[in-house]
Amino acid sequence: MNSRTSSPHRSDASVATVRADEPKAVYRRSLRWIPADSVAFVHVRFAELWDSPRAKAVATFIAGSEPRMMKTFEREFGVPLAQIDRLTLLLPDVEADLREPGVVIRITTRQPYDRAKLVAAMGLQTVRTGRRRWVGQRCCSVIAVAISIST
Amino acid sequence: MLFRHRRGDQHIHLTDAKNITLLIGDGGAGLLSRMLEGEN
Repeated sequence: MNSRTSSPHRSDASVATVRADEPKAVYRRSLRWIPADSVAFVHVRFAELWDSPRAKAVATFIAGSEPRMMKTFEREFGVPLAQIDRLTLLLPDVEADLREPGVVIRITTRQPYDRAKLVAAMGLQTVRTGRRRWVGQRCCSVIAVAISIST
Repeated sequence: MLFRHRRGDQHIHLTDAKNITLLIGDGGAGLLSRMLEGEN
């Protein structure tokens, strides 16, 4: 794929690699934010995993052995694990001069989350942003990995 | 709306009613810019 001549806003080539057990339209909606020239991404249908009997057993074990873990996750990521529908991990770029590569994690919740509650729970501070635009010129192939978990 | 986590090395974008986007590591603003480009 040549990102100089194609739109950097879409990842149709990536979407084509997903399994056929979910309509493509669903993936197109949930993955269209991923730049086409990203290095890699992983998309997990977390709710299906969480609702499986095995995951429930693991959650019960964790709640019994390390009860603070669930609360810690909620404090760090804003929502409880049980509210997560999908998780997407994106590695947009790898640059040698960066201290560490930037990573984007998108959490899609099952139901709309409470913004005020989330901001307070995570102790977030507002950041003022200008109208910055990305002017990338790279030409990379997309390595896309979409994981469908059968329960 | 973009927020900064209390640790300072993480930005959180409350993208819409059901999506939360965490931007971790260097170049958070650039990551966000690219992400928003993808939304449009």
